[in-house]
Amino acid sequence: MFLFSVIAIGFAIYVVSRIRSLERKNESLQKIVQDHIKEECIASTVQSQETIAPTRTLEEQVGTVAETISPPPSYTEKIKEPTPLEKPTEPSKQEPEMGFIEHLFSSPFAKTIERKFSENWTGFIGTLLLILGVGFLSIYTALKMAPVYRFFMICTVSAGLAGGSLYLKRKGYWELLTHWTKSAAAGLFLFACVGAGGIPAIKWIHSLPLALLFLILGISVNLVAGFLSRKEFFVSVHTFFGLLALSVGLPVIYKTELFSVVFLGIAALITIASIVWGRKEKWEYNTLISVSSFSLFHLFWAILIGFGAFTPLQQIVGMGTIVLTCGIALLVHYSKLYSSKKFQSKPFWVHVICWSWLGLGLLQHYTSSPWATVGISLGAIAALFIATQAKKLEVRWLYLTDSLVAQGLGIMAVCSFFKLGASYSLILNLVFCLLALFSVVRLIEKEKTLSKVTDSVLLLSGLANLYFHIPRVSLAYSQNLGWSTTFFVGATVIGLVAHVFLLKKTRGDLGYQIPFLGEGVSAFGVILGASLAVCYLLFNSLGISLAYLLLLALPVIFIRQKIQGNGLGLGLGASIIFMGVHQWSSLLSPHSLGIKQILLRLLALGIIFVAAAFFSYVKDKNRYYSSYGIYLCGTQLLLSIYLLGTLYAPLTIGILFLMTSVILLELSRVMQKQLKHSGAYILHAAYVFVLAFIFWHLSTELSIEVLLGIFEVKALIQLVAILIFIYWFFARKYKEDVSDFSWETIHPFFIELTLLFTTMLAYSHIPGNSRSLYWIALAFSALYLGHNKLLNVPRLRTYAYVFYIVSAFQMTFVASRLVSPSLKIFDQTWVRSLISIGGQVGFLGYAMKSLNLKNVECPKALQGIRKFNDVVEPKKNIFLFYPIFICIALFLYWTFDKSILTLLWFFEAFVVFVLSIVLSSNHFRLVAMGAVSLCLLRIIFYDLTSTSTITRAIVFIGAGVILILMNSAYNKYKDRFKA
Amino acid sequence: MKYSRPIIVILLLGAIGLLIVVLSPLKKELQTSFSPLFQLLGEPVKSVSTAVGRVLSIEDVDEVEFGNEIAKRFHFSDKTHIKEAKYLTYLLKNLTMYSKRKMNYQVFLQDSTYPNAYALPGGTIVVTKGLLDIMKSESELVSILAHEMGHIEQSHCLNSVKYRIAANKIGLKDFGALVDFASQFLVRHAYSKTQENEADVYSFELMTQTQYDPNGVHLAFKRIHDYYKEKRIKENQPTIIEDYFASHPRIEHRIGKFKVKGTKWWRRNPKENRYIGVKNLKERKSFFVSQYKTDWKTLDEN
Repeated sequence: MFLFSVIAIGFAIYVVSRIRSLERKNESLQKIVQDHIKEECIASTVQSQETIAPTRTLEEQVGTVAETISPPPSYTEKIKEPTPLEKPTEPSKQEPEMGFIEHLFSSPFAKTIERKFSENWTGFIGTLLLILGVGFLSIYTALKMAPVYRFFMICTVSAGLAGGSLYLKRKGYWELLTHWTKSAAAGLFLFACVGAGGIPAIKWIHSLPLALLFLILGISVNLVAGFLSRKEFFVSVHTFFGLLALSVGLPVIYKTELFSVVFLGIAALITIASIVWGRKEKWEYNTLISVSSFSLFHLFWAILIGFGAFTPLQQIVGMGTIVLTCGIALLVHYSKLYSSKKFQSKPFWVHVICWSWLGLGLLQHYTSSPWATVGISLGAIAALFIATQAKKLEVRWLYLTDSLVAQGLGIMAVCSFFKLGASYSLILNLVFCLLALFSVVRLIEKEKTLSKVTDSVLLLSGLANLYFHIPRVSLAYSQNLGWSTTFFVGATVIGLVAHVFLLKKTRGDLGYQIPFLGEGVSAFGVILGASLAVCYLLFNSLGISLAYLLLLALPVIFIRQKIQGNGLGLGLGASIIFMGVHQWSSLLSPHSLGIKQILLRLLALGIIFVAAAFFSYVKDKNRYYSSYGIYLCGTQLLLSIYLLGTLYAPLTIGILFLMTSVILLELSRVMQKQLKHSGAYILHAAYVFVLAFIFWHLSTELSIEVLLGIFEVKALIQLVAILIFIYWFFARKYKEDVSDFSWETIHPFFIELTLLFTTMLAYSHIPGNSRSLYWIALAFSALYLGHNKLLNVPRLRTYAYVFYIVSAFQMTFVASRLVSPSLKIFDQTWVRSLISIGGQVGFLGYAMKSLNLKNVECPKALQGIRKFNDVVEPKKNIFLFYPIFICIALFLYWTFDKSILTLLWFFEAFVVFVLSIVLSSNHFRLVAMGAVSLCLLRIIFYDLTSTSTITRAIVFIGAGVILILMNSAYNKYKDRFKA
Repeated sequence: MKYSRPIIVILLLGAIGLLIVVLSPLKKELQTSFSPLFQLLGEPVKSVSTAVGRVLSIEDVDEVEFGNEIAKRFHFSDKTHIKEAKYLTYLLKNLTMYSKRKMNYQVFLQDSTYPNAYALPGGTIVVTKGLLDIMKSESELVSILAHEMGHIEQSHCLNSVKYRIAANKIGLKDFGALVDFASQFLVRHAYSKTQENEADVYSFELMTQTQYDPNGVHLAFKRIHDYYKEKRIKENQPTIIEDYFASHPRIEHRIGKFKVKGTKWWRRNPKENRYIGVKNLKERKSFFVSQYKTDWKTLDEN
């Protein structure tokens, strides 16, 4: 008691001394303010008459002064504003030097914190410390005083504080301190009341009703004290204290059903009172703290009782209080006070948090009862209703928020069907349909923001619906697939109806669009289109015939064109491609399908593809997007040929590919002629058939070893291919103005393809030692055709030269290594090589006359040929003759006996010499003379020593004859060389 | 001229249609295989390799010398199979009559149950005991010997050691061996199937020159194929990569190819009588030692 008295006196002395010091400060501040006002008035009269400074209240001026902490120089600076003629003084020189701490608190943020702390939190912390101090004092005195005296002791302190508050209230300046002392008094009294019935140190009431009465008394006084302050902060704090006091008592009484619901009811009343009290003042923080405190109190209450262990009364009261408190908090915003078209962030977030508390609170009472679904549905309807009220009140943000909440509740209501045994598929599809409905409603309401949000959610829902209905991936698969399919198809149809409606209403202003795909591509449409692929998969899993899919796919294809749904078209296209690829892969995999089933599948897909090609008009672009339909048709035809060919006539597959390519080529040309269409897609499909043939031939037909009479089937196919490629080469576009890259970039290469296949045929059937004959024959043909005007392929002349070189190379370096076991003379490699040499010489003669490599036109990809020609043409004789000279010399060396080699080389030198006369070429003459010289050296150093006498004799005679002939010829034609 | 194009189209499509009608009844199970394509693509690579070998100017004498050195390192002679060894030597001797190169042909029997045969540079041929066991006639065995002879005649063996032989001449044997290894490692797979095909063709041509039935070639391959089937070797369908790295063409294709060639040969030579030699093989007695009437065949019997 003594100690208490000492502290109380000490506190009183402190308060009085504090008050005096504050009064002194107040006086000095008022003096400064008055001086400042005088100075400002003088300054304003000196300045322009027009710029009259706005009148400031005394408090504002005090605030300004208090913020600047009024160092004298700052005021002089304000008065002494620099005139334009004066040099501005450097601020750093005039500012007083700041220490580290001053510097730390000089920023605006630090100043704000400091001010907030000084104005509010010092009082609050002081009050709290005071209460705690008294509390500790009570505990200290616990052993020395009876609890009832302790109770009264606290009440006395509380009363003292209340008295102090009343005293300070008379001094108008001390309003804030008045509130704090009053608040502290109320808090102490509440503590005493709670303690009287519940805290052991001061508990002196042992009757529960009486304790409850005291508690209510304490809370009432506490609330009244808070409410009387008319300050948001104090109301919020005392509401919190009230609920805190209730929660202290809660563990004692929660087991009694009546008391538990009474406590909850009181808590709700406190909260509602607090919210209603601040309604007109737009106390958002108070609403937030009150609702949050109550929700936490409710959570504590629910934890103590146990979730799911509520009695019906507790359940009803629990849900009722939550709905009531949160509902009132939400309805607070339904006021003209909030009317604004602008977004208000603070009320918005409070509103959202209130909704969240409502949801969380109700979740604690959630049961599997169907009433839960009814409740959520009613909530959704209620939210929708109040949202419309917000629209009437012109609180736009509130309308948007509550509309979205209503939608969310609607979705939650559908999701709650799961507890009632509904399948995932049903729920997903219902959510999808509901969102589609919302989307339509939003469109009718012309609410762009809501439409965008709804469309985005609809998009997510659509994607989820698609994913979860893919068989083997989906949840639906583990459940009843038949029903899942039905739900999905139903939802797709409803979605389609909604999409048609949306498109008709909003042409050019669709909801969520896919930006990178261009304008007018609705994401919802894409999903709907893609739904067809999932329908297909579901049908496939159920074993339903593809024919049924036709019933679904064909109308959608038709509708797309009718409504011009670009997004739908895109999704549909992807679906159709997917269906095609999936069905083809299934048809190509080893299966036991009968021919009827195969045909039916191919027919069904074929109809879909044809429809996709026909109904592909896009009005915005004014063109048909038939390419993918045509390509799919082409691929379908290709696979049909393959599948049916494999079953019935495997050897005809390649030829059928080629035949189809010709038919498509002609069809493309007919389209150019009759329909004035480029027919490019059909032409591309024709190319695909040619490629398919090449692949098929190289991978499969090359290994066919079957005879048709005396002909090999493989060779027959290659012959047909060569004929068809020639036909292809001769095919020209019907109109010159038809522009498609294929005519310029692919078509010219059919001549090369023909040559390739010809070579392939030759290498398959001509033995190695005869291939030089093939090459020289090809060189002749190419040179001849290179001049043909009808064919008009001058680059064939270059090829002719290359083939000629290849022939010489093949004969010399390759064939000379090959031997035939045959004893027939014609089968011997050297005989065939000699024939080949004859051919090469013949070609030389022909080339001398006809090989013109100047200005040979080539396709862009073969421009290298022109460069090659530019190198060869100026020195054509050298490039033509030297390779053959060298090759023949080597051929002779490697093929014939060394003993007669000198004679053979002499003969070759003689031929070169004759050629020099014919061509009047000094160059060749010198080469011939050089070769003769080498042969003479060989005669001396080799033949004289290494050969037999008879061979030596033959060689010498032969060489002699040749040299005489050369001499005679030279003397006769030497004039040619002079020229 | 106005209608020339439609006429050509109709004629072309008509001809193709006719071909389709003719081909449709021919049932043939087709298998995807890139082996023939790789064999074809190996032609230019093989030509270049052969040309390089040509430029290196290695004579038959060099190859024989090199082959003899290799043959010395092996001890193929097996005294328990003297009869078989003699039989093989006799068969080869009669085949070398058709040789165009100056090689030192010799055949060795290797005591291995796996059916195989291979040729070494210089004219050495090695045949395993297993191969003798699975062959059912002398013509089949001779076709195998002819195939190996083909490798030697067409300089395939030389190709694999050409750098070593050439480098040996200037005292850089190891360097040559290294170049051989590198070139074989890099490009061998590109044309080994082509070389095998060349040896097959040589074998067939050689068979047509002898008194043996040319069908022995495809039948020999069939025996090997049957052995694979029985032992469950190479059962799976090779992939494109396996086809590339395979050293030989697929055995099914070889059977098909030389069956067709055999059929064509018999059609061109309907009056020919050719020897099979089933008993000869069993008794290890060459066709040149004893002939059996039942082993002679004509076109009707094919």
